[in-house]
Amino acid sequence: MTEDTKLIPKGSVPLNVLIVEDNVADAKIALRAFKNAKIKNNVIVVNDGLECLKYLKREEPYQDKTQYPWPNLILLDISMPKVDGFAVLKELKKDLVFDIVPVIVLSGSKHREDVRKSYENGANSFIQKPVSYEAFVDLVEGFNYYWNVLNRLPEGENWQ
Amino acid sequence: MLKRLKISQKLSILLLIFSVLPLLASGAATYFYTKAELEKKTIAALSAVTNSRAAHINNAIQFRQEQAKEVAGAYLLRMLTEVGANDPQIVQGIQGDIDSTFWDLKRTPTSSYSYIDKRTDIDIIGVWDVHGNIIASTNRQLIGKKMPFEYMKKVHEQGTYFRGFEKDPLTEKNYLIHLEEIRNWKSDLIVGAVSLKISGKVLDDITDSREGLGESGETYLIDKNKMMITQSRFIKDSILKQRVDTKGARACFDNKKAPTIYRNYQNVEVLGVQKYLPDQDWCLIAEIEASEAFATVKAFRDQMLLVSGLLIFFVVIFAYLASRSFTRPILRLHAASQRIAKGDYSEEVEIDSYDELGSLALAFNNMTKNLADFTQQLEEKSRTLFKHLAITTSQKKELKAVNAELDSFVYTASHDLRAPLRAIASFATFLEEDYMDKLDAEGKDYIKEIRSGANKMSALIDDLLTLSRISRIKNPYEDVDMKKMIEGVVDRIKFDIKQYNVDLKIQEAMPVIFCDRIKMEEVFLNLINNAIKFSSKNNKENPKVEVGYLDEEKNYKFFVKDNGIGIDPKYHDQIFGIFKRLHTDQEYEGTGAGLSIIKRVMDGHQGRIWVESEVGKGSTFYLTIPKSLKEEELKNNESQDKEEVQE
Repeated sequence: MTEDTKLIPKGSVPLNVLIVEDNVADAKIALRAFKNAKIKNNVIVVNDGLECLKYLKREEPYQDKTQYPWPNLILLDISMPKVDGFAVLKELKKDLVFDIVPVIVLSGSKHREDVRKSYENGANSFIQKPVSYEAFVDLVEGFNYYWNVLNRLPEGENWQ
Repeated sequence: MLKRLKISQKLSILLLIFSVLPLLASGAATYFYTKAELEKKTIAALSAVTNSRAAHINNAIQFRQEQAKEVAGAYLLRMLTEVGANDPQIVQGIQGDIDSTFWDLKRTPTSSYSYIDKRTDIDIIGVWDVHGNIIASTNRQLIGKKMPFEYMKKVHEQGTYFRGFEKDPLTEKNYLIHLEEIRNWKSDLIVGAVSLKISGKVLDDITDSREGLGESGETYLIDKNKMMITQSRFIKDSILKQRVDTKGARACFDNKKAPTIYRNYQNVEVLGVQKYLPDQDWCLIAEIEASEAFATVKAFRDQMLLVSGLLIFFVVIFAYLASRSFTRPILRLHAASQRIAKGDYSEEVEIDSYDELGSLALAFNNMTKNLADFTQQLEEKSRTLFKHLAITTSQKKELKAVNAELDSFVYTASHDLRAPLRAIASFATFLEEDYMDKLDAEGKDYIKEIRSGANKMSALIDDLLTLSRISRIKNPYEDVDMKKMIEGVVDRIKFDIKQYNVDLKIQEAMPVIFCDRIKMEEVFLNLINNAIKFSSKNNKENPKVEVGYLDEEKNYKFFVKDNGIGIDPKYHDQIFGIFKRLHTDQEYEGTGAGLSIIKRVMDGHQGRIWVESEVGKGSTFYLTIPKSLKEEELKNNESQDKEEVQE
């Protein structure tokens, strides 16, 4: 895990990835996997759906634009207390400003119903969390490569 | 009893009760009243006849007695003495006297009773001396004969003696015999007697008249011996020969009231009246035949019966016709109801009247129509019902509830079981990565065990979920080309095959089978994987796996054969149980769920799976699927589809 393995394609900036995850362990695993990924990125974790919405609406304590920048991608867990992933999805896709942010649903299961419901509510991708950490790292590698290298993502110009 | 009668019979009875019975009742009343009246009248008439004739008879008898007295009072006769007829001249004179008297009497009618012919009825005048010897008589032959002793005795006792009507012992003829004493002119002692013998014609003349007696009536006299002493109107030579022992005659002599109707001496029913004549100890009887007396009332009765008979006849005919007019529609309804009972709703009942029966028929037709419609609906409903009977709604609900529960379990398991597992595995990795240099060999081994345990747990959860899904979820059956399907499976594991250098053979000829493609893939994947796993381990140089097909009459039969370690026959049944493992992790990896998943899939396809194996000689797993499966599945699907539509 040396510095030269972290390939940053030319012209690309580190991705701001907002992870919405209530499970602290999972959040830590995700953070580590992204930190160790070969492609540079900037990961912010919020602990539930409500926090996620606050973040996007720039409510307390997420006013600082440098500390809490425009998220290029949102990784959303489904099973969360208070406001679950589907509800967050609905809210996101309703908003005129941040409805353009791609949302990748990250779920513990690949339950058929969950998959269907996620896409129904506007998810851009659905990924099952692997059990082993190695698999998680592989997943993040591929994920980063796709979203940052191959894919073009919209900018948050209207995000005040 | 009335309940068993037909309507026509009931109606007849009813009409008869209201028509004929009153007629008969009034007729009978009239009949009996008239009859009683007639009887009374007849008896009154008969009584009048008997009373008048009895008087005539008495008069006639007394008249003769007076004559006898006259004769006995003559001078010459009183010249007789107590010693007898001792003087021949006197006797001669007496003879002359009675002869002239006889002829006088014969010649001169002296009575006002015109019908008594005195000229003919006196037959003999005789004179008797005190000894009872006839000394003079108009019948010369009798002179010198002796008088019966009791005659004289009576004369001595009574002076005047009427003997009645009897056969005279001296002349052997029937006479009314009057006797009168002769007393001496000087001593006034009884010195003889005069006898007057009169023929019964005088009585016949009285009784003969039929005045007031109609066609069959008669009057006659009987003496105390109940012998007839006048001529019967019906029997010849009845005098003193015909005995009249009737109720009327007996009552008359016993001084009792006689019945008005009884049988006469000819055993003919008569109305009769009797009059006892005490002076003569006779009975005068007047009788008329009942048939004649009641002739008018009988005619009335006959007419009455005739009219009643005709009335009954017409009433019965009318009742029959009337009852037919409403039994006919009822019979039609009855016939129709029997047709309906047999399930024939085609014919309607003919309606030919607008009365209550017409309305009934109309209602009946409506009912038939409704019944037909309803029956048709019922048949349709029951047809669909029978189809759905296999799975009742309650069973379906239960099944749904269980499935929902399982769903939620699977959901929870996949979510909640995995999350901690992921944490265990990941943090063990972090430990390993971050604190590599601080851990000794033992510590590193422990971390390795933690990670492998978590991975195994993950695999177990996966298998468990697969197992649950396979038992629960039924994918639609389709025609699956088994050859292609198996090749597809092999393609998925070609990396392993290459890695272990497995000699894999797949038989060329394979059938197309109607089955659950996804599950069947799972079956072959598991079987082939197992085969590779075991054969490669046991026979590293030359692992062989063969997938083949054997055609059977009723089943498709597949096998997967390896040259692995083999399985002890005593475990052959156990291996299909869930999480049954015969080996340690170190020897062979895997959760042990594979075979039980296969078993479940085969059960779902109504098939079988079994193993033939010996330790060290490899194993062959056989599986069969019945060829009839497709038909049955299609049938089931059809009915299920319909159910869906129904819901």
